[in-house]
Amino acid sequence: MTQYIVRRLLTVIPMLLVITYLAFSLMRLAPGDPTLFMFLASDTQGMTPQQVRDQMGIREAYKGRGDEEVVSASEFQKEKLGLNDPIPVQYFNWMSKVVQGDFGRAMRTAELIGPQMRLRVGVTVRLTILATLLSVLIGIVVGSISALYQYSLFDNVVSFITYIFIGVPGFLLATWVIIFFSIRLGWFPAGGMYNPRTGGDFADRAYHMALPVLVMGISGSAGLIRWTRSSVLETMRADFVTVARAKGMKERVVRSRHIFRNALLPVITIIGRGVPDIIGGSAFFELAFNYPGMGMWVAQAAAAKDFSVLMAAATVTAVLVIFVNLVVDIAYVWVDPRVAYS
Amino acid sequence: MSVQVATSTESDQEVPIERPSLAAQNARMFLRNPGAVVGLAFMLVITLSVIFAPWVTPFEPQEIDVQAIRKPPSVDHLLGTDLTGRDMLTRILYGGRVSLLIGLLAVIIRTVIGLVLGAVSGYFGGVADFLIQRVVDIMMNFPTIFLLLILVGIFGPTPSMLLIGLGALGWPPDTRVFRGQILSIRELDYILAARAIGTTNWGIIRQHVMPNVMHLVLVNMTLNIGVVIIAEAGLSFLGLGVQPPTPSWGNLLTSSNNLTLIQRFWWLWVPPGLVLVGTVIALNLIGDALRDIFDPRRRR
Repeated sequence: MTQYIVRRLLTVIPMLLVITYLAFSLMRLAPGDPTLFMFLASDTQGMTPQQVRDQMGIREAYKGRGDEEVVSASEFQKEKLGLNDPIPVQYFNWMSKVVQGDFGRAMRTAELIGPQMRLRVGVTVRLTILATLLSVLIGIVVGSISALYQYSLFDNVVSFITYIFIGVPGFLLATWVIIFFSIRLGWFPAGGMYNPRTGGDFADRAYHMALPVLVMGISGSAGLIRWTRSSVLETMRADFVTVARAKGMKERVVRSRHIFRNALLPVITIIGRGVPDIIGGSAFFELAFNYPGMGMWVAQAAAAKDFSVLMAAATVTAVLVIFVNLVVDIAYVWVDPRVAYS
Repeated sequence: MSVQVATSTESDQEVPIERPSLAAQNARMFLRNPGAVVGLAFMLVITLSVIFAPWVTPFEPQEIDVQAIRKPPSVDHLLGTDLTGRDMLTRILYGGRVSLLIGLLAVIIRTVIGLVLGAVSGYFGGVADFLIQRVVDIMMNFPTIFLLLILVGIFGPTPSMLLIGLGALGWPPDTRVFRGQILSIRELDYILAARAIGTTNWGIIRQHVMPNVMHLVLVNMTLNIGVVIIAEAGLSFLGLGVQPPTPSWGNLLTSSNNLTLIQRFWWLWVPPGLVLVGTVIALNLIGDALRDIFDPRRRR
């Protein structure tokens, strides 16, 4: 097992390097010095954003959404920061800083990325873990019941609802929910992470988190319900289920031991494969609920063409997703003894 | 009496097959699925009215009526007007052109890439397979929306960039699906037979492999158009979709997606919302019905 994990990590690291290298060289295609701020941090520790701009002699022309969204530094600064080096060298310099947790400064606000990153990652990880758990719970329970009672009223209603959830974009659903539950009914706060007036204790934060998690979890469950349903249906037709019934086993035992245990295996893979989309999709929910996590950050950075934030977020996301997939693979071994990694 | 005998001997010789053709059987199965029929009807109505938009509506999508700003639906403007006095029905129809065209083109791009790479990967295997699958791994391990945001962020939300982003980034799952199917086809006896009589690899792929993946291609494309339409709407929500004043279903929906507008002017978001959601659901209904038809295990 340990050997398997080590080997997986060894294949994962080149993957990470490829992703980040491609992203890094893509960024360089933007006009000006898009990577400039990625290299600012160690020498500018403790400075305010304005001081940084002044001292580095950074010209910035990004007012409006025209073509002249260019950030550039003087020739002297470029040389000093290594912006004239070949891209692989720059990439290496950047990577060796990133490994130490130094992502440089945000291009638009000139603020340090590292501390922001820690906050935002925590927020998104919390949000996506809770939402995923909710999705999995709903998906497996509802999907299984739908399959056991195929073509019943319940099954038909569920399949109708899943079609709607697949058709409605997440941000639209979020807006409806906010209008109905927050504004009309007043049950939940309309957005934010906590009540700024009270400062936000644990209960208050949980209260603010409830609606985003519910919406994310429920809308994400639609796909899982359908996968679970078809997987359970397929397993119900398998020969070993018929044999189990023929042996005279109780229906309850057949269902729990023969049907569900086998039907849920492919569902685990589906959950793992869905992780990138859950993290990506959280951008919409974070924006709609004004919930400042990674997704919101990336979306705003892309709109503002803030390349250093985009680059940092892309790297951290890739690490997160790869880590989650590793966990899913290990979970697979644990659930399915037939799979042995050696 | 004698006539009857004659026909029976004749039929003995010719072995008449009275069963309807496979296509007819499939069509009948499709028509027996109420969801699929509703979906198909919906798509037909939408597609036709979008194509013939200039004949359906007397207005231009950019045309501003200063007499009618933010007016609810009336006889003049069937679905009302938006904040600058443009006819909503017209904008929805022309926006449909944009959304459906982006959906179709992007899906064609990703399907072609997926098919070519899937065929190389599944049919030939070896180093090419290994490399392609590693790239697929990398791409599928990363949130597509973030990649899209990075691309659109660097190169700007131009129409061609959106197409490339939505089309060219979607191929990894398609490649994987097609590869799986082609791998299993490769092992079949008739491929061996074709090879035995000297058919070239290219000939085998074209004549024997491709026809047997086409049903998957059809199902995939149908479902993916909906995915692309939603992705475009999502990008619009983040301000990086099709840029106004060019209408798309995505930007029509998101331009009214704030708490005040949604509550006060329902005609700004209900019609585009219904059309967008309806289209995606219709495509899913059609795609699922097709999948059921082509997969004998899923038949009722």
